Amino acid sequence: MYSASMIRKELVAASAEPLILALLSEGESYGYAILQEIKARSQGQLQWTDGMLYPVLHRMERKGWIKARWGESDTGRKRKYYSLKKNGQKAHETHRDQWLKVHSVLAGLWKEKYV
Amino acid sequence: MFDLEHAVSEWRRQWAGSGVKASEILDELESHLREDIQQQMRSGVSPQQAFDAALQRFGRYQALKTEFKKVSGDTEVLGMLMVVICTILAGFIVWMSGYTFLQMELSPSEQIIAYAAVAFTLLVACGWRYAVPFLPVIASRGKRMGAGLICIVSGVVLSNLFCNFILPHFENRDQQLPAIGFWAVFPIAVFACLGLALMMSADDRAHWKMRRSQ
Repeated sequence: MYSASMIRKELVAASAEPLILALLSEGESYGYAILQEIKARSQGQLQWTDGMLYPVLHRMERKGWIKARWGESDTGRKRKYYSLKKNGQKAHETHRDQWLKVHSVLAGLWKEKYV
Repeated sequence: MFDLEHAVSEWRRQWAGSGVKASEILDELESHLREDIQQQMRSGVSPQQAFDAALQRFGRYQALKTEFKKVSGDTEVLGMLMVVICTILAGFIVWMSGYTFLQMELSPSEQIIAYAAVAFTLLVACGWRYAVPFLPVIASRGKRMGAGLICIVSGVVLSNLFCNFILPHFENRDQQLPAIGFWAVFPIAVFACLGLALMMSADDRAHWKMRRSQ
């Protein structure tokens, strides 16, 4: 589904929704900007095939987590903006708790082994 | 000489031909492609190089088509189920009314009135979704549900008023009963469909592809 040379594609796929939720929790955004933001924040290590972002966004819209509206870019072209809904905020918090738990378990295990 | 507009139009045409048919999805994908191309051109890349690189990053249409199909799969099954149920119900109504009208040996004018009632009721039941985009979207859920329920109840009330106050004035009622019966159902069909449409939120309309034009 995703092309990622640095991070395994399964992990990239699993992190897609939490990443989008986290980005949208900071404010409204659109597809291209979401991709650029994720590339920048991961220093290019987390790379999606651009087109594949859209089925994920549409699935999240279907789940009632995000809503979309058409707006205009600075150049006057149509652009679709996404923002978080109340359910999306809850989903974001659930994802965050779960990922933090996984992170804490892994960090604990690695600390025991290497420190 | 490379023509960027032509290349983007051709790209869009190929995607539409490959199975990604919804114009809203194509608009969004095209908007992304153009953003990427513009961004690259701002940093001095030629239009052709920017277009080729954007295409490379965008991915293959077959994979994307499969992903979009997964997203819309549930809606398609539900939509097909609704079509099957509607077809069975419409067939049943047509068969029942046709059989009844035939048995009653109605005059040609009575037949026209009777079949018109069936035709209009079926038209409303099958075609109401096309009227949905012209109706206002009520933002408040409570008001939406209230307006919808008022409409549905109004249909039943109107039908009852017709049966109780207008029907008794008909002469030769036994012969006209089937046609009158179907006309009595007509306000229920109209107001029930109107009520259901008003109950739909913007998200519901998007889910059933009844979005107002952007």
